Amino acid sequence: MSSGLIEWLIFLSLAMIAIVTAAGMIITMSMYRAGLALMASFVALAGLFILLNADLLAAIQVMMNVGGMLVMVLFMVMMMMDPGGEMMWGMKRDMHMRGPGALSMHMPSGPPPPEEQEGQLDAGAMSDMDVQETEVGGHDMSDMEMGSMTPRQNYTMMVDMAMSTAQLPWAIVLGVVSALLLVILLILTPWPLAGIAPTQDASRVVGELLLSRYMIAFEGAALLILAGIAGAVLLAKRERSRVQTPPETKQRGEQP
Amino acid sequence: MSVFITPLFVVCVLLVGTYFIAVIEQLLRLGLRSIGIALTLPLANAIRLLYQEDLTPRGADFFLFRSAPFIALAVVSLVALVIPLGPTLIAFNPSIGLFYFIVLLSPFVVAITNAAWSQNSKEGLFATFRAAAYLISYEVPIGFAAIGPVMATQSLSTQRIVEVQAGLWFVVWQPLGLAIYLIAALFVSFRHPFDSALAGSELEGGAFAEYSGGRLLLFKIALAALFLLLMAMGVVLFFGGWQGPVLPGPLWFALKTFALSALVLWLAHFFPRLRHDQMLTLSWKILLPASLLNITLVGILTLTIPVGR
Amino acid sequence: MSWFTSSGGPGLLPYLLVGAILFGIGVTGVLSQRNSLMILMSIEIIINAAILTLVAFWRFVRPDQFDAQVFVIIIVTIAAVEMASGLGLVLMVFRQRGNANVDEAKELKQ
Repeated sequence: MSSGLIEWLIFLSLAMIAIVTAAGMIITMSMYRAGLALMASFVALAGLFILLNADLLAAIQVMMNVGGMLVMVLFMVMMMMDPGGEMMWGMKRDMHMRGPGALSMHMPSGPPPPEEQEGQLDAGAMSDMDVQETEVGGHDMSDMEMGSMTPRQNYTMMVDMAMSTAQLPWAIVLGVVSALLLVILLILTPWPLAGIAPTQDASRVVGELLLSRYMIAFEGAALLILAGIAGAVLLAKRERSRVQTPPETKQRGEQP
Repeated sequence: MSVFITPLFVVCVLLVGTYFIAVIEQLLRLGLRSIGIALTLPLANAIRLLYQEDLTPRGADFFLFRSAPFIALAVVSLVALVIPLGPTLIAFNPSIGLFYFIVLLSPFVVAITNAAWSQNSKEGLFATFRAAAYLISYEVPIGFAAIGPVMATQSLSTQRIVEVQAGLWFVVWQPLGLAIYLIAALFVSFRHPFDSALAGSELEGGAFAEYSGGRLLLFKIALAALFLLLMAMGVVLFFGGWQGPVLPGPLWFALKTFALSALVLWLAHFFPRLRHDQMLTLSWKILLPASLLNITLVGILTLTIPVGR
Repeated sequence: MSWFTSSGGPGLLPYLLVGAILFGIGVTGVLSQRNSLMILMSIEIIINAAILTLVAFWRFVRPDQFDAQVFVIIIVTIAAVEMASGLGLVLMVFRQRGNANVDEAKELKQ
């Protein structure tokens, strides 16, 4: 087998992994798996960088993005109602919704059905689906009567639980259009190819460049990181409520 | 052919080394007289785990729960490829060898996080958060501690770092770097003072709470192998790798690695297990300024004192 | 066409096509997701598609000058800072409203 064929095979498998996992991130219902899928996509991209003889960039890509995506996954676990997708899978199974089980739910289309009259159905258990649930595994669906929801409440619940907006078809169209535009642009442009392979040691040359020609960008990036750290910490700080001081301790002028 | 033989050889060496790390742990626990028990107890534990029933918790994430031990082992094997065992005995020598080593420590924590998350239990959830917090906390100190030898060598290749230490080992003039590296290494491998994410008494085993049988054995092997690799890299960075007067290179390397592991494990026994906030305090308020100080010191020394380059 | 192969292996165009497809997927994600964290992750996909294109150009158009790798390092740094700031903002919004949906954060007041 010639090395060119092996290179094509490796390229195709890595490219397939990168594209399929990136698409899977948008499609899947479990947030944890979405974060992991994105991480896998970035690792496949790092493999593509190694194929392109840029191993320093591949190592940087893996280091930054694995840690970054892990933090992202942590935030999702903190902030989302059902990060593992368990509740939604159970709901899809119990309510016999259409579509394969692992894929995310879309917003229902069309106008919401009209409100029911008061007193017709008692579905108070379904009214607060927005409450943040901190337990893993979410609500236990067996103690809610699924069939007793009004159409209006069913609609509201579906709206609240959907992963994608109602504009999903338009989003797909725009995504495909932009990809096609780029592909046509790329195929039609005459790129000036250099037939040579890179010969120098990347880390040495990049280090020299960073500290000589691109020193301003280097220092600017450092300043940006500092600003980002300060800003993020400031944004994430909780406001401490001022404690009411009792009157007898307010004599600051007299006591040290 | 050699592209298959060399990794296989590396994995075998890794398993033998892991066994010896377990032996050292048992020796430290039981005292130096019971060497017979220390040699057989790890094997007995391994066989017991293999015979144990392999349970899967209800509601566990199907793919993640089963794949986490294998991801951990794969990462550990990839990391082991870059350690130089002798003058020409290295499986994979890229020009960014040390950077490759440090970068691959992150996916290991991803495997632990997967394991903790996929168990569908409260303890697992706590362990997920803790493991991810520790990943972010130790990456900077261990990177900065490893930069010291890189500054002296002016190369990231592990083989080159060992070769430059022919005159003087780096530990002699970078003791602070060694201290930071060893503390961070205990962080990385979830070892005794820092095993808050796997705490047996606190979190019912934390990330490994629901694992049993063969998968738990694989995880334990992966953790011990990671510790061995970190100690091996410590020897490469600070103690001259395979350099030594009379004996062959690999033998010196093995002796130095096991001596360093025994020293670190023994010292670790003196400290109680750190709480989660104590670990974060240690990492961000103590290790990070110390590693910045280390870089400053090593930089000044590299420029002013000519040390065998 | 020598843009497609290079000494037997894939040439410039296959990498650029992969980058274009990833860009399309990222755009779809940004426009269709309701959760702000998913939108941040889709932005990451777009940035990485651009990085792949950049590295492919470096390899096949100018392999002797490593300025492109410096550019990539700076881009990765800025992407990380942007994600950190984005996460801080999302955290604040979450504390105000109790969920991180962008559809409901349309007005400044609750």
